[in-house]
Amino acid sequence: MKYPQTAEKTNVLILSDDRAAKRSLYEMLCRNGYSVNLSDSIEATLAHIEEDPRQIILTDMHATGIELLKEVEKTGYTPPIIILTSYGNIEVAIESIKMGAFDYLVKPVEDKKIISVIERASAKIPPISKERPLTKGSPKVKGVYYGLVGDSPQVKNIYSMVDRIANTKATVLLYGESGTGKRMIARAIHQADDQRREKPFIEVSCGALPREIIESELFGHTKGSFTGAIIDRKGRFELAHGGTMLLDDIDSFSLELQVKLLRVLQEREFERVGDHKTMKVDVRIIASTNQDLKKAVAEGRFREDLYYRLNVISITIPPLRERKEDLRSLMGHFVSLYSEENHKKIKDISQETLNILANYNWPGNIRELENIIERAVILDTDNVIDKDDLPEIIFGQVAQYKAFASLKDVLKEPEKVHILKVLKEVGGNKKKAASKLGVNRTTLYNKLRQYEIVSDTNK
Amino acid sequence: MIEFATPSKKGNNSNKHRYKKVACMGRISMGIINDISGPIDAVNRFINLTLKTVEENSQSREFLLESKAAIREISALLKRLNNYAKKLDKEISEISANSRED
Repeated sequence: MKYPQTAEKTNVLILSDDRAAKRSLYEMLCRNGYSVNLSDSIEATLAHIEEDPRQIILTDMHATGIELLKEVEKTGYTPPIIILTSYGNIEVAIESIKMGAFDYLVKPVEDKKIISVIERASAKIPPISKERPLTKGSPKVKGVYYGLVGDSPQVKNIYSMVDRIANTKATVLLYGESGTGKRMIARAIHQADDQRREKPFIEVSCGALPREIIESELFGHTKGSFTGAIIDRKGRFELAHGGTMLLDDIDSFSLELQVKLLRVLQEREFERVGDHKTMKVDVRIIASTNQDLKKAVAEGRFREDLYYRLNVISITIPPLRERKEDLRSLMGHFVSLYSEENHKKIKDISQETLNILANYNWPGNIRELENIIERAVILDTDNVIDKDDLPEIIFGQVAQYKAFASLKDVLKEPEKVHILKVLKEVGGNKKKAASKLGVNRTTLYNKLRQYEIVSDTNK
Repeated sequence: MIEFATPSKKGNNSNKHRYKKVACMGRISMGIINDISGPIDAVNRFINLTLKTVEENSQSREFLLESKAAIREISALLKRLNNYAKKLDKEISEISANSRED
């Protein structure tokens, strides 16, 4: 039987080996407008996740719940997992929560409770509204380009570059500090490509995957090729066929794996682990890093030939502190996003809050801004975001920056810390300390007076 | 109303065998609770689904609501039984540990 499905609702995947449980949950969720998939094994569930990582997993297989969590973690995706358990197995459910499950429910459970947890879990999935501009249609809205937000000259240059390279096969190397939006730009390149946007966009966080499994994750494996390879499994390159693949933290690749990647880039072919059959793929590769790859090449940690092969087109994404003119539009974007998600009606951000945020240095870049705005939206009570809704860390750094107005002032604190450290090392002996610090005793005494350091010895 | 009795902690070594049996019963109970919870959960949901298809004030609706109330009672009983089985398991473990120390 087909039920009307609401496009806004997240997909739910039911993992259960109990016929009645599966059927009853399926019917209930379908009638509540969800699109539901069914699975009866961990392997089938993983295949579903690879196909669509943006779904919520509801499982009553408490015995395999922990195993499922481990396997899902290996995929690099983080779908919310809800465990249905019974009174007798609450300990297992709690253990699952510690390991990253979203929540657990004790059977028998009322339907509205399940719906409520699913709704909460939906909010944890990367918001659909962020993705919406990335789908075909009219991607360019004023200040928003394929989901990217900003109007600063630096960002406009990136938009222009994405436009120019979109319909080519060129490999792209994205440079940028953590949280600057490298993934969003990779997605924008994928979505702007007429040939590939309907095909998969596969992201691999190379730094997050253990070295032992990364090869099989990327290239796949055949059954029996190593302990634990119980089935043939497609790698990410195969899954990305026809589409785009983002290799995040490319600098974390081992030298051995770099050779294999170079071959994929040059020949577009590879072999699964434990197989001799050569496979050909058509994948556009985008690599990203926050490290200086040239330096890694000089230090022998990164292959020079791979570096040049990856660096056909390189895009450097500026940190947020260098494009503060985009702060307002980014804040507006996140405020409306999280207001909608949290059913809030935020009308404004106070001028004082804007000033504080503008003076902040944003070490965590856009990701940090997003988290701070999400927090502010959740905590706000009067529909206007003011300074009380901001975390302490912001005030600390703003105050610090005001106090340390000059270079001389900025250097005072580390100087004081170093003097204290040396004094401790030499047991408070000022002669020895002065000698270690490379200054005469008079200078040291002046510094001690300046920093109000009281030494308990007069040696 | 079911009353559950908890064995006294003041046992001696000759009671150890009996305690082991009681502990075993506790664990079996937890297994049964687990096995019953699944079907009860499914039945409850099927009743909810059926309730949406029957007319208001009909006798079918009345029977279904009665069934739901019975399921709530079974659920409460399972919860109590689980609490008792856990308590039993814990106490027997403590007694066994103390006996070993003796």
